[in-house]
Amino acid sequence: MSAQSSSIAQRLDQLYEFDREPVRPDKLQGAWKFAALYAGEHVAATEFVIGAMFVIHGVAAKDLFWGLLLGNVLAVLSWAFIVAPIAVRTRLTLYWYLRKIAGPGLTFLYNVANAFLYAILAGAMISVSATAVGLAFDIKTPGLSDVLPTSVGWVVVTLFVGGVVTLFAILGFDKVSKFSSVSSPWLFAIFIAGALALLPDIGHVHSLSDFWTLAKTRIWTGVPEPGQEKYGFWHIAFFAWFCNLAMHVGLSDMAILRYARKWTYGFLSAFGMIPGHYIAWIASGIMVAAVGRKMDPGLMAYTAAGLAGALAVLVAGWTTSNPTMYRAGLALQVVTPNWARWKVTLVAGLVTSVVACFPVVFMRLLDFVALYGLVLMPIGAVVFAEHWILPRLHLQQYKAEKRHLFINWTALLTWVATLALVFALPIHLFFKWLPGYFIAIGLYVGLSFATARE
Amino acid sequence: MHVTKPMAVIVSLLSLLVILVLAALRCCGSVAFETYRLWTNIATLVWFASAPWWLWPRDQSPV
Repeated sequence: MSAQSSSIAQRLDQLYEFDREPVRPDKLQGAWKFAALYAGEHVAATEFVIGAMFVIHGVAAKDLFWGLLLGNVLAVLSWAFIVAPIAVRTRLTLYWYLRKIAGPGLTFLYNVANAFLYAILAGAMISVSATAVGLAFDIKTPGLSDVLPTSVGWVVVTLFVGGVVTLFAILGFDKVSKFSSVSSPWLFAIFIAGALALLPDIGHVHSLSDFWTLAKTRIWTGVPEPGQEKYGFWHIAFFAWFCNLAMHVGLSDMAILRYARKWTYGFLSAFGMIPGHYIAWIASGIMVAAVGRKMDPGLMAYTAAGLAGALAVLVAGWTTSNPTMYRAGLALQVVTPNWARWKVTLVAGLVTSVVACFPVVFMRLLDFVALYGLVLMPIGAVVFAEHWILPRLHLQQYKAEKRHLFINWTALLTWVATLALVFALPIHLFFKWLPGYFIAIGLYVGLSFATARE
Repeated sequence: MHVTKPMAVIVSLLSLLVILVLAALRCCGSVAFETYRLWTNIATLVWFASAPWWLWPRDQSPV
C-alpha cells in the first residue's frame, strides 16, 4: 500500500472509528425503536414528488394500488431476508464489513460515489422546499421538462433555502435530526388531510365506490401528460421495490439493523413502507390531480392545507436534506484532511445548493432514484456473495483483510463490469437492477473462484 | 405553566386528530374549506408546541 493510499484509508477509518467494533449485546435495541425509526424515515419530501409523478406518468388506478402493494411487500422482504440476517450476524456497519471484503481503497471509492449521489438527492430536497418558499414571492416553479434554472428568482430562492439548510447543518445537525423526529407524525397527518380535503375539488365522494370511480377517471387515468413516458403495473411495482435499494439490497441499513435483537426486525420496515410509500404516495397523487396536474409540491401542499401545507413541504425538504448533506460532508471529509467539520459541511452545502438550482434533479427524481440504487447495488451483491456463497464453495472470505489488500480487484471489477453490462441491457431503467444483481453475484463468485485457483 | 408528559401527549395527539377529522368533514362536505384550513393551521401550532415535550429524542441512541 502506498503512503498516500494508506493515509486516505487512515483518515476514512478515523471518521467511522466510533462504530468499528461489532455492537455489544447490551447495546441491542427493542422492536419498537426500529418501528418508530422506519415510520419516521420514510415520510419525507420525496413523497410529495414521487406520488405526484405517478399521476403525471399516466399510471392507471388498478396498476398503482396493486403495483405499490407488490413492490412494498418485496421491499420489506428484502429488508428482512437480505440486509437484516447479515447485519445481526456481523453486527457491523456496511463500511467496516466492506472494508474486510473489498479493502480500504474500494471502500473509499464507494464512499465518494455515495457522497456524490447523496449531494444530488439533497439538492432535489432543497428544490422541493424552494417550491414552498417561492409561493410567498410569486416565483414560478420550473416546468416538467426544464433542465436548467428557469428564472433568476428561482435561483435566488433555491440558493437561499440551500444556504439556510447548510447553516443549520453546520450549527446543529443533531438538533435538526431531532426536530425531524418531532415533525414526522404531523407530516404524515398533513399528507392524509391534504388528500382528503382536496378530493371534493376533483369530484363527489360519498362512498368507497365513488372514490374508486374518481380514482380511475380523474386521478390515475392511465393517460400520461404530454411528453411523459407511460408507466404501468411493473414500473410501479419495481419502483416501490427499488426506491430504497441502497438500504436493503445495497445493505447500507446494516448500520441500523446491527442493533436488532433478531433478524426478523427487518419486517418492521413495513412501518415505513405502508405510511410513506403507499398512503403518502397515493395522497400526493390526489393532491397533484387537484391542482391540475401541475408538478409543484409547494403549490400542491399550500392548496391542500394552507400555510401548514407549505410548512410541511419546507420542513420535509429541510429535514431530509439535512442528514443527506451531513453524509455527503462525511464522505468529503476523507479527501479534505485537517479541515474542520463546519468547513466540509459548508462545501457540501454549497455544492448541493448549486445542484438544487437545476430543476432536472427533482423533475427527473424517479430516474435519479433508480440510478442511485443501481450504481450502489453491485456492492451489496458482492457483500451478499462473500457472506453466504463463498464459504459454501470453500473459498477464502475477507481476502482484503487477510492479505492486507488496498483494493480487492475482484470486487472492483465486479462493480464496474456489472454497471457496464446493465447499462447495455435493452430494458427500462427501472428493471435493470434485478438482472444486474444476479450478474454481480455470478461475476463475483466466478472471479473469486478463478483467482482462488491461481 | 408546568407541562407534564402525559398532558403533552394528549394535547399533541388531539391536534393531529383535529387535522384528520376536519379534513374528513371537509371531504364529506360538512365543513367549509376555509374552516378546515384555519383549524389545520391552529392544530399545527399546537402540535409543535406540545409534541417536543415527549417526542424530542433525549439521548444519542443509534436506533
